[in-house]
Amino acid sequence: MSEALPADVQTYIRKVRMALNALPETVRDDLIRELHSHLIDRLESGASASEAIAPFGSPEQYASSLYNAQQLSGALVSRRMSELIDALIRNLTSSISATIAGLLIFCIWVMTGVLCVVAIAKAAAPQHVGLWQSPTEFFIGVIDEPASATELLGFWIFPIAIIATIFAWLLTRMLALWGLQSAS
Amino acid sequence: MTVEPDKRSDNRKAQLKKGVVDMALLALLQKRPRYGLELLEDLNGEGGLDVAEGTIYPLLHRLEAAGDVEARWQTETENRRPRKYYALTESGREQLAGMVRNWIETRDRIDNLIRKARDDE
Repeated sequence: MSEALPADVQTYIRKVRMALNALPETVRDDLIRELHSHLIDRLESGASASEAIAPFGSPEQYASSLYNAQQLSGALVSRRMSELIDALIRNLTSSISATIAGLLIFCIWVMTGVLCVVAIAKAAAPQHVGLWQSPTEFFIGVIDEPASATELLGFWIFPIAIIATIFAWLLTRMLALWGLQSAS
Repeated sequence: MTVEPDKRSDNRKAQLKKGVVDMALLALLQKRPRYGLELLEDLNGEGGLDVAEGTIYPLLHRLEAAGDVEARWQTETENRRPRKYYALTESGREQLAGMVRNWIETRDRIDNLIRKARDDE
């Protein structure tokens, strides 16, 4: 079928196909088949090779839009965390909901990260690490003079850190799904 | 730095159109399934929306991922070549109904606002 196509069109299709290398072969074949079918229709209705190709943009650009849309589809279907996050990052700048979800997820993990680091430090130096309250200060972390403040959490910091991590994980999935569904 | 008035007007028009492409596309699928090029010609011809090829296919795939449309390769009897047809799903129909409601409400309110502001002068 492709022998009938002008060389420019064949090159274009080949480049798009190459740029979609990371996708599963069946998905890639389907995308290329659709592109192929569209270009043949255009050529048959009298468009020149360049008129048919130009509205798709550069092969890399077009492949990248296709790829992003596929990542989104894959992530929404599989709901695997790695795919959700990958798709969210790719769509961060193209949708407001994805940007909001991304920022919230980032903040949640910064807070969870701090809590976990402190919990690990607590295991190493139980006397100096914790959630401290003194007449002048309230903070989480390391203190030089344990006698100058009261530690509020004690060893409760371990279960709290574990629960916070689980909670952050669930919240991340919810936010990523919301961000991506609104983006699509 | 100032932008030429013509360019600003074009930008505004492009922004306005961008928001209604999804709705127009779903609306075109109400009666029967259609393929990409067919949709593109109607969106740009009748709809005057300036949608490019590079935009419509990724958009169709996103709508498919969201469950608003479903795609199937189909061969028309008079045409030996198969084409990928997109059809509206039940969820797509609901989405479209919501979009159209919002569109009509917004359009009516803005029309009123413009009319009222003009009559008040």
